[in-house]
Parts: sequence; structure tokens; C-alpha cells
Amino acid sequence: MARAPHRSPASLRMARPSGIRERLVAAFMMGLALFNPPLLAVFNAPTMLWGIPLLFVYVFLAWLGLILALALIIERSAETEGDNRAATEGEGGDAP
Amino acid sequence: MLHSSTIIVVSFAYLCLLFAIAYWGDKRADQGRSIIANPYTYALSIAVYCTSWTFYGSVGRAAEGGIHFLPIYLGPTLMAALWWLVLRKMVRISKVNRITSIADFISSRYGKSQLLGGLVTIIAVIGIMPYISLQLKAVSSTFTVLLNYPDQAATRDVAQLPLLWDTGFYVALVLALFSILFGTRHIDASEHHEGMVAAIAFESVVKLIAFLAVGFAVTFLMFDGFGDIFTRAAENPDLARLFHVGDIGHYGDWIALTLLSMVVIICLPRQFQVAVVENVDERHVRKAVWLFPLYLFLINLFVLPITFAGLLLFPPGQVNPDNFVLALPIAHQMEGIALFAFIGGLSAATGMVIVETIALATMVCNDLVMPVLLRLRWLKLQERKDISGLLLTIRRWTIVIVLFLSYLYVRLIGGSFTLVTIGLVSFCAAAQFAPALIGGIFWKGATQKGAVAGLVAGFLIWLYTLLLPSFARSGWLPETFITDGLFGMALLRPYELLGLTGLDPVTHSLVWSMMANIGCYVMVSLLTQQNAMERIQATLFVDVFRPSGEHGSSRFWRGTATVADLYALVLRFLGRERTERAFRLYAAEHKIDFAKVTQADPDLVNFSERLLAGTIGAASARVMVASVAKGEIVGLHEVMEILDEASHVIAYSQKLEQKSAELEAATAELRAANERLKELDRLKDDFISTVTHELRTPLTSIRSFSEILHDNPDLDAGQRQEFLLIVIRESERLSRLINQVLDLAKIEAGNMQWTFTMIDPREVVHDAANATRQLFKDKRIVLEEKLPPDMPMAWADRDRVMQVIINLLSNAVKFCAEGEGLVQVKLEAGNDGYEICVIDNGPGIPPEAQPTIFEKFQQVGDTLTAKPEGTGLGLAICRSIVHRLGGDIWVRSAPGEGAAFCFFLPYRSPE
Repeated sequence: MARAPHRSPASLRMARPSGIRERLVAAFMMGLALFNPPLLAVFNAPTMLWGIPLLFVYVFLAWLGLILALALIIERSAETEGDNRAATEGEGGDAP
Repeated sequence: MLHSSTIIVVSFAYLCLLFAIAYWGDKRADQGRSIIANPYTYALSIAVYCTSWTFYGSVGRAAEGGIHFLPIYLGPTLMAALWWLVLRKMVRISKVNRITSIADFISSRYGKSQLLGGLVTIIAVIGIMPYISLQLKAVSSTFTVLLNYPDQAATRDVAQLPLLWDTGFYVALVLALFSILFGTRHIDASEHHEGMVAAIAFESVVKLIAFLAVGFAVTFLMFDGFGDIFTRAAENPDLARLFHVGDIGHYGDWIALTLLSMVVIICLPRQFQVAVVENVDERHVRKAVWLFPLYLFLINLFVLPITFAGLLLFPPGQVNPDNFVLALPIAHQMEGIALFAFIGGLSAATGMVIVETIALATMVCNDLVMPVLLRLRWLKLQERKDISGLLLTIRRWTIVIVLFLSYLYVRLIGGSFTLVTIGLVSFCAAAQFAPALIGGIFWKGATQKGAVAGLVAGFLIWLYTLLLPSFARSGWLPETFITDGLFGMALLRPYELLGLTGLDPVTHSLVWSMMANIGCYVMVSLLTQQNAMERIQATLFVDVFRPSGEHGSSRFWRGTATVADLYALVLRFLGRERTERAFRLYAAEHKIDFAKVTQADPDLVNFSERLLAGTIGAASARVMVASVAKGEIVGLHEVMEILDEASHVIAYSQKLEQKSAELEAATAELRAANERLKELDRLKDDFISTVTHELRTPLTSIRSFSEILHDNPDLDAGQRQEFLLIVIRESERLSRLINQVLDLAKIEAGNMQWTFTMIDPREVVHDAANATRQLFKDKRIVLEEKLPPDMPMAWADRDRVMQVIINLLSNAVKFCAEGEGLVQVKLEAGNDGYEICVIDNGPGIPPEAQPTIFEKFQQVGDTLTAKPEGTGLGLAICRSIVHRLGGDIWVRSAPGEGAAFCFFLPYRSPE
């Protein structure tokens, strides 16, 4: 038997997911981390994977991963969200 | 071998196909059925980023530095992640302000400054020249390779051929012709070139497929897949060296190139053209965020295999690595693939040259030549009837001149450099726009003087550390300029400025020029003031997403002009047909009759200015409109007031909205409260009548039986007993009723005594069930207990909890049919409390009765006809107790399916 519906913490369950802008910035940060030292230096090793140098495999796979992440972020977010948030964009651009 | 005429015919056929696509695209656009209005075409058109540099040069770069060809594509991928924030804003700004080029954008942002527009144009032309020359070099040298293989001598020294024998010269001529045909057939008020965009998107598809075809042939036909190539390369220590990033300095170059390519993807004039100016719908930016990086990924997939295949197959020095893409298929007699590859390379080059020269032509015309011509009074341009023809002529000549200069560059200087080295020089120049461009859309305080200072400083350092040394290395300046520095001062060596050594020339130039550029931009902006126009434009740009009302910038205009003057002015630049249409639309939209109105309002002045801006750029448009309109824009002080006022009004209206919403909510609450009061009032009336009825029934029977007993002393003992029992029962019922009324009153008034102890809810339920077991037996109803095996103790008032359960149980008994009833009492433990349910299989409760069932004296069934089964206070008492214990009570039921009364209590009830 379910708990009384109006007592369950609806406010927590319906917590607003972070917007597309935040996610895209996060993907950007992830890309920065993937394509720069120290991660790049870690994979700069004299090892071969499937007959291909590890560095090449890593860079191309990381690249593909980032593209997939971007595609997921863009395609998953509802079409309307961007329009709603557009109205509030541009706030707080007054400081250098 | 391929015959030269075959190659030329195929190339021309391909270029004509492109032109046909462009023509078709323009035609469809005129009919309003655009073929480019989808995100895929948009993303493909941005792929004009991939030029001959990508098609041929990446392999050349990889042959020297392995993975180091890649930052040029990783940077744009990273930037694409931010496009939804940055590019979309630029697109919106450009649409609102009818921006025609990057020079127009920057000049417009900093107060429609002609100086800044001209400066950006000059930097763009000088900076981009090497980039265009790279394309010419690639096309002409691959043409020669295709023609002369295996004789490589012909590709060596282009510079020594006479002009008329140099294919590069003819390539430049043909490309100039096509750029003119594509971009400057007519003047468009909106500066959209839909046909060109369609052709560019098509070219992007061709070059991608061509490169993938070569890559596939090399990897899987000539070799046994990726693993085979790399394994064989690994055996050669010279090649295995290319498997790694290199030492620490190389990481520096890697990071610098990533950052560089990140900013140029929006700062290159042609990228700005396709991504911002030619954008037809800003929602297309959304999909491009991942489609464009995907394109980059695919076109780079085979670069490394082709590089190592070329290095493995050709003896060192025999074939220029820049030509591997073509030389490999030729060497294996795959002539079809080779020709396809050549067409792919041609696509890459022509796409770049067409868009770049059109972008530069627009900039040179609008931001450099027109402002000068308009100032030369003796030309009497102000009085010329139709200037649109002049605009076209200027643009066409610009294209010819730019291509000729680029040809000179490749002939005089570029011959000795690899493709990528030439291209990076241009990248560094384009990057100089980044601070003014990106700063301008996010930082309102940036001033015109700051932007000029940053651009000049960055450009001069670029010139000194990158362009001039390339002249010196080609012998057009003394070699000592590089080795000893200017005037023989070691600190001024262009590749080691101030003694900074150990960096690649490009990284070195980028570090110094960016430091100077950003430094000057920020410092000068902080130290100088904006004038009124700058302030207006800064606000319009930075706050472009903020709703600003209908007027846009017209609220800042206090001038006067006649409609006839404005009409004549626009007519000269747009031609009669377009002008008439634009004014007719304006009149219809604003419900103005130009036959009656002679004086133009600020809106119309602003409208005319924007119309002109779409053709000749914002700065020139400003000057032109000012020439017919008397009056000035309002002063800085008033601008500030208007801006403040506007933001006050917005804030005020937001507050008003909030207040009215609050008021509405309060009204709704009041109305609900009123309804409830009325309902309670009605309930009270019912209560009194019910209580009267309830009291009267037992009283009546007590009285009548007492009278019988009193009047008939000779009744037999059995009858007497029976009558007395009735009297006792009715008295009990009376006192129960009175007790309950009192109980309820006490709870509601808060006078009830509560004694809290630790209880085991299972035991309480069990005891309650036992206490009522007799009732169940009397009516032959089954009572089931469902208790959990283990649960926490709870802090509550034991007697009250028990009272609730007993009330619910006795209720259930009342409503169950005798002999076939089944009642369950169920206890469930949750995370923060427990739930007790009493479920019966009685007649159920109709939905309309459910909301009020816990009110006082609410009984299911008609109280007038049926004899009430209880006092009507039991559930009300239950609810009061449960609420007092910090829980809740509710009912679920459907008619005919029984009812479930449940209540929830926390493990720790508040005392």
C-alpha cells in the first residue's frame, strides 16, 4: 500500500534538472580535460592497442565520446527549454 | 596517365554543377521555398572550415609532427560546445542589427565606428591573404602532380615558371570569376547568399566523401587495415617517433593551437559569414553543436593512416607529404580515386575562396571604400541617383584584387612553406578579433578606444613576429632580420621577442600578440569613457536577449527628417523595386499613409538606417542617414536616463505583476475560506438538528420505558428486566454521545491530556483488535491482522492511537454485512513512520461523500430515513487525534468494493 500521495516529498522528486547551458559548459570542461595534459600525457605511452598507437586510439575515442555527449545533451533537452531560458540570458554581463 | 584536358573538363564541369546548385538555391529562395533552411545544411556550410589545409595539408603536417595536426580540429569541437551560448547570441545580434560582416559587427558594437570597421577590414585582408594563397598553391600543385606523376620535378619550383605557364595564375583567375558569379550578381538588402550556401554545403559533402574514399582505398586496399599500417610504421624508428606528442615544449604548442583554433572558428571572416550572417534560423545552431564536430571527426579519421602509408611507400624526399592524398592513389594506378580526390581538394579550395572573398569584398566595400568615397565631396556621391551598381563594381574589383594579391603571396613567399605553416599565419591574424568580438557581446564596459588599442597592438605584433619574418625567409627582407633582430638588437628578434625562446614561431607570436591585444583592450577600456552612441550599442548587443519593447534604438533618436528624403536615400542604395517594397510593407505594418505624412518619425528614420546597414554596413548607414536627418542622437546623460528608466519600468512592472499574482492568490484563498465557513455553518445547523435527534431518541425511549415501569408496578419480572435493560442501554448511548462531544471539544480546544510513551505499534494494533473481537463475533465477521515481523518502536500516546484503531474497527463492523463480512487491519512500517489501515468489504463510500467524511456528524446514508449507525463523531475524533500526533488520515473507496481507512503516524510524534 502506498504512502499517502500528498505526503511524499514531491518537491524533491520534481527537482528541476540543470539546464542545457550548464550541461554544455560541463561538456566543454570535460573536453578541456580530455585533450590536454595531464590526461594526454598519461596516454602518451609507447604502447600499441589493436596494432594502433595508444595515443591515437585515445584521442580519437575521447573525441568521439565528447561528440556523443554533445549530441545527447542537445537531443535530450526539450525543444522548449532553450526558448524559455532565452529570456533570462544576457543578465549579469555587466562586469569584465 | 590522366590527360590534362580530362582534368580540366571534369573540373569545369564540377564548377558548373556548383554554379547550377547556387542558381537553383537562389531561385528557390526568391520563391520563398528555401533549400538551406535546415540544420544539416547549416552544419555542412560551417564545414567550409575544412579547406585544402585539411584536405592536403593535414597529412603534410602529420608527416612532420604526428598527432600535432589535430588541435586545429579539437579546438573547434570544444568551441562548438559553447555555441549555444556564444554563437546564438551573435546570430541574434546580427539579425536585430542587420550585420553584414565581422567588421560591421565590431564597428557596430563600438558605436558604429568607421575607424574600427576599416581597421578590422585591413587586418582581415592582410591576414587572410596567406590563407587564400594556400588554396591557390594546393590546387595548382595537385593539378601538376596529377598531370606529371611520376615526374616530381615540375612541382618543385613554381616561382621560376613564367607567369603564363603557372597554373596557379589560371586557378586564381577562374576562382575570381566564380566568386564574382556566386556572390556579387546583385545587391541584396539582407545580404543573404542562399545559393552560395547551398553550393558550399554540397562541396562539404563532396570533399568529405572524396577524402573518405581515398582513406578507405589506402587503408583497406593498399594495406590490411589500420593495424597493418601502424605496425609496419612501428618497425621504422623514424616513423615510430611520430606516435608521440613529444617533449614539454610540444605540449605548449598543442595547447596554443587548440586555443587558437577555438577562437578562429568564429573569428575567421568566412566562418562569421556562414555561421552568423548566412544563418536563417538561430535554432539551427543547436544541432550544429554536434553535427559540425562529427564532420570534423570523420574527415580526420584517415589522416594518420594516409600519412604513414605515404611515408612507408615513398622514399624520403621524393614526394611532398602535402601531396600524399593524391600521390598514393596515382602510384597504385587508381586513377578514378585520384581524380575524385582532386575534385574533393578542388571543392575544399573553391568553397573557402568563394566564401572568404565574398566576405572580404563585403567588408572592403562597406567598411573601407564606401566611407572614404562618401567623404570625398567632389565625387558628388551624395547626389548620385543609384549607387547599387557602384557597390557591385567595388565588390567585384575587391575579389579580383584580393585573389591577385594572394597569388602574388604564394608566388613570392609561399612556395617554400608547407600548407599548414602558411595557414597558421592567417589563423593568428584572425584570432586578433577575438577579444573585441567576444568581449563585446558579454562586457558592456568595453570601449571603442579599448577595441582599437587591442586590435592595433595585436596586429602589429603579429605583423612583426609572423608576417615580416616570412618575407625575410623568402629573401624579400634581409636574413639578418630574423637572426639578429631589427637594427641588430637581439631582444627584437622576431621569433624570439624579448629573449623568449623555445617556442614554435606560431605559438610565440600568439602568446605575445594575445597578451598585447587583451591587455590593451581591457586596460584602455577601463581607463576611457564611452560616448552616447557606444553606450547605446553596448546595451543593445550585450542585452540582446532582454525584452526591450518595440522601439529598439529608435528611442535614442531625436532628429527630424522628411519621408521623401529618406525614401530617396534608400532608393539610391537598394534600387527602386526593393525600396518601394520595403516602404510599402512598413506603411502597412505601422498603418501610416505616406501620401499624408511628410515628416518621418524616429521609427522610420531607424528603419531606413537598418535597411541601409544591410547593404553598406552600420557605420556608413549612420553617416548617410545623418546627412538627410537634422538633429542628433540624444546626449550621453539622457541615454543613461533612458536606459535607467527602461530598467526601472521593467522592474516596476515585474513587481506589479508579482503583486497582482499575490492578490489573486489571496482572493482565491478568501473565497475558499468563505465557502468553507458557509459549509461549516450548514454543518452546525445539521449538527444541532442531529444532536437534538440523537439526544431525543434515547431520551424518549428512556422516558417512555420509565413511565411504563412507573405506571405498571405489577409487571412480571422478565418484562421488567427487559425494559430496564433498554433504559440502561439507551442511557449508555446517551452518555457515550455526550462523552464524544466533550472529547472532540477538548481536542479542538487543546485541553486534552496527552501522555507520551514508547509504544510498539504492533502491540497496540493487536490490543485494539482484541478489544473489539467481541463485536466481530456477534456479527460473525472475520477479522484478520497483518503485522510486520519486526519494526521500530514509536513515541506516541498509546491510548489515543488505540482509540483511533478501535473507532475505525467498530466503524468497519457497522458497515459489514452480517455473516459475510471480512475486515483486515494492516500495519506497515515505512522509513519515517508507519501506516495502519482498516479495510472492509462493506458497501463502500460514494465518491461525493469522501471529501467530507471526516467532518463532524457526516454520516453516509440518508440520516432522515435510515437509522444512524453511530454518533457521526468517531471519524472526526480520529482525524483530530491523528493530526495532533503529526500524521494524516485518509480514505480510499469505491461504491460496492469496500473501504480502506488508513492513517500514517511518524515514529516520533511531536509533544
